[in-house]
Formats: sequence, C-alpha cells, structure tokens
Amino acid sequence: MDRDQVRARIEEAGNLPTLPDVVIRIAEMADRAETTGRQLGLEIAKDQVISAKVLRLVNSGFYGFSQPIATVPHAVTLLGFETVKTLVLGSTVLDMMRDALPGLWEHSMACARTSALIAEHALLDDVQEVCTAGLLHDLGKVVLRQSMEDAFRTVVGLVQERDWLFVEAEEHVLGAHHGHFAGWLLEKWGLPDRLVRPIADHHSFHEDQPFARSTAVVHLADILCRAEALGRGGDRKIPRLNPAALEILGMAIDDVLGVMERMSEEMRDIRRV
Amino acid sequence: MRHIPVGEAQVGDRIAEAIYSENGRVLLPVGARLSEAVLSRLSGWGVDRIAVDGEEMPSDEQTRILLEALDHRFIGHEEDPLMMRIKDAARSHLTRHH
Repeated sequence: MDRDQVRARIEEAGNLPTLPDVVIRIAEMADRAETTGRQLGLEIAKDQVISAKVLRLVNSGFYGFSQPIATVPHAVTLLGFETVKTLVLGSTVLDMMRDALPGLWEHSMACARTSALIAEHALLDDVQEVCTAGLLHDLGKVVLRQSMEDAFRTVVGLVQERDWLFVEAEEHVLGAHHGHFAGWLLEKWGLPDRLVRPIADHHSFHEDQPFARSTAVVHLADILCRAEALGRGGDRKIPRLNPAALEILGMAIDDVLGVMERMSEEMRDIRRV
Repeated sequence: MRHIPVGEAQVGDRIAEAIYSENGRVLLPVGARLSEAVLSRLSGWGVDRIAVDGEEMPSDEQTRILLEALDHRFIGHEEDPLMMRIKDAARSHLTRHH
C-alpha cells in the first residue's frame, strides 16, 4: 500500500470518529465571522454531553486556570473560538483514546500541559492553541486503529517484537505515521493549519515548516513526557530531540530542565509508567 | 490495601477506602467493585488516587522498575548530550517521587 492509498483508506473509513450533526453545526458556527462568543457558547450548551466533555477538558488542569470554569460561554470567552471548536471535535475522539493504547490518555494530558508550559516559557502567542495541539498530537494512533485495524495490529506487534518506536513501525508498514493520519483527518474536518501542522509534524519537525514554533513545542513536549514516564505512547523508546527545535524556541538546555522541574511538580496526578 | 492513581484502576477492583465527594458525600463505599461506568467517571469527580484491595508495591521496587524502563528508553541516545541531560533530569525526578 502506498501513501496515497493509506490516505484514501483513512479518509474514507466508515468507522472513523464520525462527527454528530450538532458538532458539525457548532464547527460551522465557529467559522462564521458574525458568530459571537455568546451565541457559540449557547449553541454548545444545548448539547449536554458535549458541554460536559468540553467543560471537563477545560477544567482538567492543563489550561492552568486558577478558578473552575462553570459554563461553556465562559470557556469560549477564555479559550477562543478555534480552541473550543477543536475541543468539541476532539471530545468525540478522546474517549476512543482510552481504549486505543494503555496510557495514551495520560500521555496526551501530560503532553497538553507540557506544551502549555513550554509555550509560556517561549512566549508563544497562543498558548491555549498549542496546548490543544499537544492534547491531540497522538490522535493519529486512534485514527489508525479505527480505520485499519490489521495494520494497527501489525504495528503494535513490530513495536513489541523489535522494540521499535511506534512511529518507526508505522513508517515501515504504511510509509506514513500517526502525525500524517491525524493531519489528514483534521484537515478534512476543516481545522486551521496552525492547529493541524504541529500535530501532523511533531515527528518530523523542520525549522522551515509553516508554524514551526508551535510544532517545536509539541515535538519537545512529547519527548519530555516520555522522558518523565508520564503515560505511554505505545512503545518503550524515545525519539531524538531535534536541537533546531530548541533554537527556534530560543531555549537552552537549562530552560528545558526548568520546564521538566515544573512538570515534575505539577503533574503528580498522572501515572508514571 | 494498595493506593493507586485512578489511571491504574481496573474494572473489578474492590474499593478499600471509601471515596468522598468534595462536599463529603460518599461516592463509593468500601467493598464496591469498580465497573466500566464508574471507572470512566472517577476522574470527572476529581478523584486522583484510590485505595483498592491488594498488596502495596514496595516503593523501592517501583523506583527500580521505573529506572530500568528509563535506561531502556534512552538506548541509542548515549552519544547525544542533549538527550543525556534530559535523561539525568528525569532520573532525579523519578527517584525523588518514589
């Protein structure tokens, strides 16, 4: 199977996280320039399941709000349209993450919080957006499992037998990796590049890419969470940190160690494995 | 009794210490078995750690396992000074918490 065939399989898979009508309506509203934050919040609040999921994510600690956020309109005001839209879309797949690979949910939560810590340190413009990219960076692993279960099993088998990185096994079997899988799905869902690129490219960071700084954050956050044993990405190895990622963020190794110190202080609730 | 993070709890685990809500209401009594439905709700209730039946793993044993896994993760990165600094920092954090 070549890359285009893999892409077609993923985009056409019937059992991929399908978006309920209400989610599509909310996403469309978020895209319209005349929609106000209040209108968007009220529309989301009409659906109890989705609002509960969004509020749980908003309050789960990684956005770092000191006060609990009780209402969706308030969340929209604080987080902005794109982040809330992504959370609404993401909430339909996050549940699948728990089943996809043991520890992936914890790894994703840790990566979201770490992305926020790094983005704050490196003074990125939109910390919340980068945090959301961190949360969804491994979405492609869920996508693979849902759309091509045989290939997923082969990948998991190779990771166990040959002790490869998950991404290496994916490249070997499919010629593409979970970053690409997630990227194709999120593009199809109409999410903006500044959210899609950091997720799609977190294993192939290059300083000349669009949105290279956000991508560098997620690339680094993923590696730091694996180093600190916060959750699991489905393998027992760690990818190499591209030094150019630190350079573009204006961070030295001592800044990285400072971020790790804060992670270790702030993430005691996440299981180390 | 074993104290574990919520993420480690399994369906069928038996609760060894009652779980209370923030306002003191009993959410799960001693002896309750964890079902799929309850498990998925625990973190939403704001519960981080729970006590279930079973032997507590000695903390030095936990640390040994974590450090072994850490060494394994960094195989192949020995010549990379950045990766080694990250590993050293992670080692000190893993040792400190356990």
